[in-house]
Amino acid sequence: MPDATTYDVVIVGAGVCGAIIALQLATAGKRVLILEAGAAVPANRNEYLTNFYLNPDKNPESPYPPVPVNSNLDPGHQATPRPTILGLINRTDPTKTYLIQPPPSPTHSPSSLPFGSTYERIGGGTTWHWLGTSLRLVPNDLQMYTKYGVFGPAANWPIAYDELEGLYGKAEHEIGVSASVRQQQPLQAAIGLVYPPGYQYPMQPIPLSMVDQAVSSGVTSLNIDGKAVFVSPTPAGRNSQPNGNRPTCAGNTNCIPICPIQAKWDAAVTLNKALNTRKVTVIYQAVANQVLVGPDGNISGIGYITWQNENNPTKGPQQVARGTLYVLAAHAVENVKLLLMSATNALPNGVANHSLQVGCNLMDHTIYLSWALMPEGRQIFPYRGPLSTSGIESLRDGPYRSKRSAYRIEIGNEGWNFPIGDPYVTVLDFINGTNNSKLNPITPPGSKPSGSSECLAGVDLALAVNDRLTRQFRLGCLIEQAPMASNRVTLDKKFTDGLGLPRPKISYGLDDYTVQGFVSARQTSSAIYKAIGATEFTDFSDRQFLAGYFEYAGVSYASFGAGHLMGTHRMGTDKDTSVVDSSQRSHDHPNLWITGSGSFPTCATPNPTLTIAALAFKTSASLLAALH
Amino acid sequence: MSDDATRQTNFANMSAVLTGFTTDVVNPLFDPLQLVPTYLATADAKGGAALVDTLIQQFLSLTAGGASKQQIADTMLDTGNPTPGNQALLARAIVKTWYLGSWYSSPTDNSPTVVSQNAYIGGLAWKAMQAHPMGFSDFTFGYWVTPPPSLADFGVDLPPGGQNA
Repeated sequence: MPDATTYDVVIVGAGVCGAIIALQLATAGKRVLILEAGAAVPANRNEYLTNFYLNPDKNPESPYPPVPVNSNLDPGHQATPRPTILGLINRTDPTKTYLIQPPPSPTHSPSSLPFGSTYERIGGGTTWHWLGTSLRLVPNDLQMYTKYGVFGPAANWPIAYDELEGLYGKAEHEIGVSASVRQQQPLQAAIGLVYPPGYQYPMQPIPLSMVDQAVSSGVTSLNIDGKAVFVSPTPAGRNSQPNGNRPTCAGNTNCIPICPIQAKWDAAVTLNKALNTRKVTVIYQAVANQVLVGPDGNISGIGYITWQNENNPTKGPQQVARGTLYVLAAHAVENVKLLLMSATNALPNGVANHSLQVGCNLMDHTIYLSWALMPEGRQIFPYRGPLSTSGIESLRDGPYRSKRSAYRIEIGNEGWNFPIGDPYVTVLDFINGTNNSKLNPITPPGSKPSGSSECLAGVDLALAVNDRLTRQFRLGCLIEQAPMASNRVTLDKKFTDGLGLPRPKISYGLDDYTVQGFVSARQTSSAIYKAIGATEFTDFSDRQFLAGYFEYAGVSYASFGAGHLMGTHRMGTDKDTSVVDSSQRSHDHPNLWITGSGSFPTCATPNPTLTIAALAFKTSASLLAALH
Repeated sequence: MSDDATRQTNFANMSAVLTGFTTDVVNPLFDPLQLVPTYLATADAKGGAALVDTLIQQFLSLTAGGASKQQIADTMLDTGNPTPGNQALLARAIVKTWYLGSWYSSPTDNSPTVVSQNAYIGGLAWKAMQAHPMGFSDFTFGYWVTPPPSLADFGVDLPPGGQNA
């Protein structure tokens, strides 16, 4: 039991925010306690890798404890259950899904959908399976209400871009981002991306894949809504050179679910640095279940439960961690769960919830996925390199944001793995003589098969697999989702986890602004395929089984989660409409900070981790100032 | 050579022909993955050793009769038959395992078993794509910028004259 008076700061969660803040505080000589709900960071990643190799479902969660195989684990009996793709597939069965999701819409309306993203509850957090994409917001992203008149005044970020720019530099150097300012330069005119004079990324850029090259050379004369379409190398938190004791990226094409060699930064890297200061203590398998508020409105402690055995856990006694200041860094859903669980007679709506915004405005970069095949003989050799090395960023900002969502377009290097589950589906098609892939024979949507499906063996099989799979590629439009109070995380009153704690209940759907983003994303993706000369295969009309399936204006769509959970404790200047200030400090409780992408007032289009990390540096400075 | 060793060698040679890869890839001299004994044991356990022996005999007989490798593979997988018998289905399951590292108990099995970590890593589908298993790259930084080595370099047993012959 740690000495209750020892710590300057108590942090809940050992992920990206917890690790960065702990390192910053410890470097300044402060003593830090981290409570991590899940398993410890393993001494090496072999155990997680073996889980990945042996799991028939190569979903983002597949390597991590508790390891879900064929969804046989009941969240009601686990110590630290979390949302999973298998849970999403089985979303109507609370013995298989941790999140209590809205029922399927009989009319396939986009206004009610299950929330499609997941996260981990382990040391190192969800950065174990982040992609590494390290894009900065652009200035207009912070001013959606002022610039485009949408989402209301609370959508404006309470932070100046100049300040964020400096924080990005710190985050990029802590993460180790590989990119080139010169290569990003065309985005200044396109979307207003600027860097301070003389700024350099810490590592040289990741080179473009053959898939990237094919898209880049194909779209040179394409314009969408008055904006030029062009491909930009993606700044990435993965090594383009040896970095400390971590190797250079070897292109394992597996950033998600797990980088086998830790060439990609994850929070465990920074957490180790923090632990090496000997100023930081982590208690693993310690689930925070109560934020205690004193009579003066200050937080007086964090209640937590330790556990043994993930399934049917043995609970330790209720304990309390005490410090001078407190930081919640448990991510957008678990932060909310903790604040709402901490309700008392004096604070019936939960802690830090004067605004009643805790849990509201849940957002994701909902993905419009599409896929295509290059012409015969034009092999682009996917399934090689990092999962993604470039994207189309030039459409991320424009006047259309007054009417519809913007999006960025991620170019995938993993063929049709995401869209249809290849190479498995196509290989099985050619052995079984079936055509689930639409590649045996090649049958794009709306066309008739040119013959019957072949069953192949020997060299014929190898050549057919080679021909089809080396021509595949896909695009994913990450669509900016509008903040809506009704997209919400609350506590389910009926279903609990294995520690007896309530589980998150989700209300979620897409508004018309976001759906119009889907409509545009579909048109743009098809225009890109046409410009390249590729044959598009995107077709959701026979995929009503997908969790995110919806219909709009007679067209079938599917919304996929990007793994980007945002907005649930948004920052702002007004304590009546926001939960935290620009330092992520609670408006209600002076010694409480609530961190992570839950603080984003809007989600814009970039993958959130870099901005999460940048804001953690601002929070660290704010904590240090409060301690002095 | 013992009967067991002979049986294993025959299984390896048969696997090479059925998959379209060279024996150097399926059964390398220095073999860190040991997939031949693994898959023989898997096939015995799942399909029955007697049926595996029947397959091996069929392979030896076709080979002795002078059939081409492609003819042998097509015959044994009964590729022209939409409703093949148990013997051809076992041959197909063995090919799926070599390609994907997983055992599929039937043509419609959608919850296969990954045979082992090495089985995933050794999947021939990745070589047929001139790539590597997702999560196991033997290549080095930047390899993705240029075309991969040839299909023959990846061990596909191309007929004389190469890929387009």
